[in-house]
Amino acid sequence: MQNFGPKYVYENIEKPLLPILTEMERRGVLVDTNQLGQLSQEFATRMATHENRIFELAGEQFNVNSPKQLGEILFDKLKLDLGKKKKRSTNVEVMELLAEQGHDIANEVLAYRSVAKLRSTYTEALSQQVNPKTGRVHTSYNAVGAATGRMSSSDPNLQNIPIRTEDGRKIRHAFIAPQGWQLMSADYSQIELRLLAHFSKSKGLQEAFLQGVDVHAFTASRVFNVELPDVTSDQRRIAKAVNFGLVYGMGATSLAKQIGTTRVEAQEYIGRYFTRYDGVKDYMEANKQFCRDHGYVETLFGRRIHLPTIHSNNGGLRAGAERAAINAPLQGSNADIIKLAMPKIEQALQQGGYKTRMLMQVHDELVFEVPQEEVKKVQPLITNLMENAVKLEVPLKVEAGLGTNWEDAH
Amino acid sequence: MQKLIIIDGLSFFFRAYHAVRGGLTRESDGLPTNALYGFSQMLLKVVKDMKPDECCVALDSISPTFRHDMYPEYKANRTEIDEEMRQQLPYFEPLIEAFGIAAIRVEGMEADDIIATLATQHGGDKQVVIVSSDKDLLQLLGGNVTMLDTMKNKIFDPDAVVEKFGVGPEKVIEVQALIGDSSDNIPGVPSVGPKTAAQLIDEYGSLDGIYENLATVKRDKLREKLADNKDKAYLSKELVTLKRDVQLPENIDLNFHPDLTGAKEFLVSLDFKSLAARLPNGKSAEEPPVVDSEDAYMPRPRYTAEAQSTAISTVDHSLYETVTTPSRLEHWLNRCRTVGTFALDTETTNIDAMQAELVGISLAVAPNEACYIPLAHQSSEGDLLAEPIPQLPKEDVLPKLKELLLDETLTKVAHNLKYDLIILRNAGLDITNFEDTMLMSAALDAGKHAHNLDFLSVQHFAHKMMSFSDVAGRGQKQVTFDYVPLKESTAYAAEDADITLRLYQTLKPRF
Repeated sequence: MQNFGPKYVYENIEKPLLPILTEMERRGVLVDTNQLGQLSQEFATRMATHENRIFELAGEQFNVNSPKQLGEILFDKLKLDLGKKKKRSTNVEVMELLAEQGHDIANEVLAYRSVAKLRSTYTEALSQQVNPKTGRVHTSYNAVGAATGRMSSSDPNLQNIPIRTEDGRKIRHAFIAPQGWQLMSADYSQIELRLLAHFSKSKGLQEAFLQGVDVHAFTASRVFNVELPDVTSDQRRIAKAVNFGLVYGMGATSLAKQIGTTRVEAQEYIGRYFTRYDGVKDYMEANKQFCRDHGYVETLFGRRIHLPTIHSNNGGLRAGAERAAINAPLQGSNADIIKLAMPKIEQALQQGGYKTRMLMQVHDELVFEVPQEEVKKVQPLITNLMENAVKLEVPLKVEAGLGTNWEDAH
Repeated sequence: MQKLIIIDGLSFFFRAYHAVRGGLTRESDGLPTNALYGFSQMLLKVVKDMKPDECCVALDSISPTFRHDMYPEYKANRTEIDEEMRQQLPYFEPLIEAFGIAAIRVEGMEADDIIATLATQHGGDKQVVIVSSDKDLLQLLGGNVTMLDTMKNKIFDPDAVVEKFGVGPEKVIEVQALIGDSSDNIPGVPSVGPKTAAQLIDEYGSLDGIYENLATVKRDKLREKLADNKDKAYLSKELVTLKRDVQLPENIDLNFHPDLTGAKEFLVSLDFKSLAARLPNGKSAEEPPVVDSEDAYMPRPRYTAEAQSTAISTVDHSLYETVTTPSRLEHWLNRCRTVGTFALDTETTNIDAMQAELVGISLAVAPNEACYIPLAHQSSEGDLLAEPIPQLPKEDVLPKLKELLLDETLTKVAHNLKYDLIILRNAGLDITNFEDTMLMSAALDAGKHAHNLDFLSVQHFAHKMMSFSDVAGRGQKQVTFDYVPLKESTAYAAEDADITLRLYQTLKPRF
């Protein structure tokens, strides 16, 4: 076995990736500026609708974008009460709090802002980001954008397009393939959970992946003591939240909020999860301890992620570092794996004489431009290379889809 | 003339806390060290660059001051100190002590009053430099007294005061009395801003002048405000006026004889190894060879092998060369081949690599041995009579560079090479056998701090690099790099390559 550590990460992961990212940036991606224009128009209309609704609720017109004016409306005119603890503010946190209390105006403000943000950062900006020489949009990657090794990108920031919302879908719909080509999206399915199964050596969790069953349903059957076919959709939803929550080092309070239950009940689910998936709790505790001892945590290939606040006297900072000590090895290993796969794919495409080109990398996903006639060969080739980029104790699973635009390829 | 440096201690310390970001901590116990780092940097600058004859640090009284007696709300708006800051405070005075610098504190007095008293006592026959960024001290400037903001490297003199307040140092308190200061909770006259205040003082000379002639103030609302808030204005004036006759402790030794051994040990104990190495008695602090300025573009005497291995010799822009002749280009290409490992950086017209045009390339082969090869610089726009810029034709240089960059026996180092590689490939070049110091830093120190070159230069070499706006201007007046004059271009571009190579030599042994 090779010596994993910072040297391995630099020499065998980051350096080989550099020329690949260079080419991806140079290639860029095609966007449909007509679609973007229409979408921009649609967003503007919706902003106006929200704005009118806000004016109705406020009983007057004002500049919704001005925190000062908004504050005066909310707190002086409408006299909305924040309780003792919260400072008068119009930030997201306060708006969400007011929305929870049933104040429609806060909901409208949140909706207005979210559309306005998407309009300015994507539908308006993307058209301007089209390179006049190439006619394509060239995002700029930062290979080490996050301490975990996960990449970030800017102009446009591909990582920030909402994943599960209708608006996010519409934006992705405007990323298109040229005539006669397809976009192919290939993404690692549940990779962080698989990594958790690998690292924790939890036989229970590994079994779900080895059997190839739906891991959330499987978890629900364990946590709620029912047979797999009898798992209800509600139970699955809760199990899914527990699965993802724990990967992010989430505690009972946050989980309770997420699934809409009491803290006690959430704690109960977590307790049962840890009993059923033996080894997971030990793994998490071991990670925190390792971090306290070394000041960093490690990924699959020995990438070091330093968490200096693990020793902070500030409880909040320390708790944050402890959560990160659980999640960073998973997120970082995910980054290691996809970064290892990319040069292999590039090389295979070149050696096979394919015209297919790797264009984008977003989290667990790679996006390619594929000539129609290459689809049949390239899809299994890429899926295979991604799934076998490393050998874990559980299989890696990649799902690949095709379409004339990014959204349909999902 | 003797030089006295007075350091505004705590205010500088707090400012360093907010200015130095990136989660600096001591490895052994996780102690946050950003404020200590910033303060140490400043002390080093004082010790090493400013070479004072006398030096001291002024500190605030621990108990409430006479201003609190005068106005209980004084500074009542200050929020509690951050936890990360509180942890660093116990090391603050020992740090000053370790440098062998006198710390002066007088109960009931603020540091500002101590500074005012010292400046008044010594300003007559000594050059007094106040190290601070506090605008409340501007009233002291004039004669031999100036203020230096080491973080911004900005010197304040009476002209700078006029620029900031619209009046000279002697009238600053009159203006401050009118505008107040929300950060210290000094009331001032409500709704009177800096511009109005400066106009009023300019017209009437002082608060007294205004109130003696209040009826002649034309704007009705302003006159009312002034009339209603006369007490506040005079109270504010009293609060902002510094006391120049504080009874100082008798046996203060202002003479500067820094204890460099103590300082070094203390810096090392805080994990500030690169700062410690910069102390004048450190082994690596050999001064670069002195050269005549006329000689600036000629080849330099080279460092010894031993000096080359240390990455911390002082950065000297005057040692960089602008390459404008075929023979000098050959010289540099040969130097790259001889040393085997060199750094490069591209200069372009745009931060978007895909829209950028190549303007020039810099190379570094050893600390301070770096050059810039301009390729597409332009004379300033509209200047038809301007001399053509002396630079080698792209078509002559690029093939030679191409050969150099493709030579697999040579190691090419860049910081964030991906950007340069896009530029190079778009210009028909490519690279083999490369190293990227940004990726190296991220592999070694992820989570500890940022990995941009400017930051790493400060982190590892305590050297603040030139910024793009230093050479290209700011805001509307900013020009693209092809319009930056060659001398500045060379300093800026060659420094990038120089620091990149030093960084490589520093990081490589850690793998």
